[in-house]
Amino acid sequence: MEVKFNDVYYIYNEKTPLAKMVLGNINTTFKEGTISGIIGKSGSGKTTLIELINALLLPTKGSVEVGSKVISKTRKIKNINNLRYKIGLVFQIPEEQFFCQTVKEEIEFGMKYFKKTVKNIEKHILDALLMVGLDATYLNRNPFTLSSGEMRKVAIASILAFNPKVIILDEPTIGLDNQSKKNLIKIIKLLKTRYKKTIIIVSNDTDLLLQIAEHIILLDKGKIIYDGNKYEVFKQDLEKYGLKKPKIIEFEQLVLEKKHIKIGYRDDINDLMKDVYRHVK
Amino acid sequence: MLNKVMIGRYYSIGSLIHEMNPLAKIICVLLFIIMSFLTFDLRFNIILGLLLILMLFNTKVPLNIYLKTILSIKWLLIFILIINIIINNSLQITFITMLRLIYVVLYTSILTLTTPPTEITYGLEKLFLPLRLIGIPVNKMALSISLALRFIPTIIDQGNKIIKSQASRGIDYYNSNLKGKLLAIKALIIPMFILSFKKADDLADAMEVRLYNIDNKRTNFRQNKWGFYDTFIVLMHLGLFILIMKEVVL
Repeated sequence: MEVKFNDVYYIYNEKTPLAKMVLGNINTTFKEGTISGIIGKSGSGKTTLIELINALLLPTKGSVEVGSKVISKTRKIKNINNLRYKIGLVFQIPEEQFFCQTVKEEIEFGMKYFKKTVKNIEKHILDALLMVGLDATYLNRNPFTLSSGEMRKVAIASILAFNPKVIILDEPTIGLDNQSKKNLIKIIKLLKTRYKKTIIIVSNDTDLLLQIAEHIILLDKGKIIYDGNKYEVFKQDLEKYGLKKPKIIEFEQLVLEKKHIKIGYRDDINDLMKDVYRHVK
Repeated sequence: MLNKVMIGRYYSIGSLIHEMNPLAKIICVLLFIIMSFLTFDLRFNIILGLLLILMLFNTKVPLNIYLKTILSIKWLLIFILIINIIINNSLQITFITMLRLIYVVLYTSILTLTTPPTEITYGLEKLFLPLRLIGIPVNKMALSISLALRFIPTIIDQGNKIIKSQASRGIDYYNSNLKGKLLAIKALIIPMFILSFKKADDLADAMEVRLYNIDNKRTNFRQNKWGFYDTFIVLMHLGLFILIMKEVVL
């Protein structure tokens, strides 16, 4: 399912002296079956952008096309749940996303209340839990008592359970240890390759995005500065926008280019090291 | 839903009322409330209305925000109307009773819209200062009030996040029927309590690690000076108050 922004503007407190333009002139497309990354420093409009996809916010001007549905201020969306059923949004702070008393209730919430006939709910719940690396012992635990890494996993599981076509992850790696981060990368790659999901990741972890994303959008003060292939965007001067370059790109630019070693871009540090070793040898 | 809650919201904009001393504003609010509850005289109510309009315009806060405040008490106004019809009160008394409520709500919203919570606490602390003489811990009371006020936007923020989270998983408060709305509210209350207590605990820890001592004498970052405008507005209210008191007592 494709997500397309057509000249979108979003203004908070419109028509008051406190009006503030959060997003302006946004034109971009998140293609079906791809992983896209949205980067930008705090307050650049990243979270607002993803909330527009889910119709949690309506654009002040312009429209957002999600598949065949159009989200705009002037056209009321008929049966908004049909749209949200296709979009899974994992919020930035998982703790603030929970409202049920057990992990099981939290995961089954979407399946229950989107009013779609989901057969064998129990199996779906367990599959979703196992997919994120948790087991059945978590089902009856209170989500508020889990560690932040486990909370993040439950939040992702609660979205995976109802099998949305578009998955949006807001800062998914915050609070995760290295192993959990690796697992998350595996899950995201699997969702893309096996299930052909459209995945949108909001993160300033440029190393993570270099590993998994294909398309990157850089936002600054509500405007798109760069929109394109990850190598093209990460080659730019990101420090100017308060961001760090991925370590691999930095290594390639600072070391390999200076030494005139041409081996092309690599997403994984291990692949890069192997190729450098082969080249030197 | 919670974005529409105007109670306790501060509207940051420069105006004469914003710059007034919080103590002066609190005194004016108290005088205005007493005045509006003392008189059933239509003439005085018109004068109070004019005073209210004068204050409203001087705040420079958009009038639709005040309109929202009145709309938020519409059910209470309807209830008052019905009760007055049942007990067979005259039309004038019914009208003035409803008008009083609108006046009080609007005037208190002038205070909250033009004064940040910390400044309100400052004003209350100064107002209750004489109570120290009879051993009432005014500073502790002021701290409790300031902490309570500080948590209003946090709780509203929290509520909004949970509403969004519910909406993204099938129960949209705004686009649901009554059953959906009730379910959304039911699911909202418990996590809001849990997270508020957690945040309160964090705040208490943060205060403790910074060696906060309630019994120490505290100073203020902003020194609120009493200016000419404060005296003028308070005297204006006081004059009207004396006039009404004279009319009521005699």
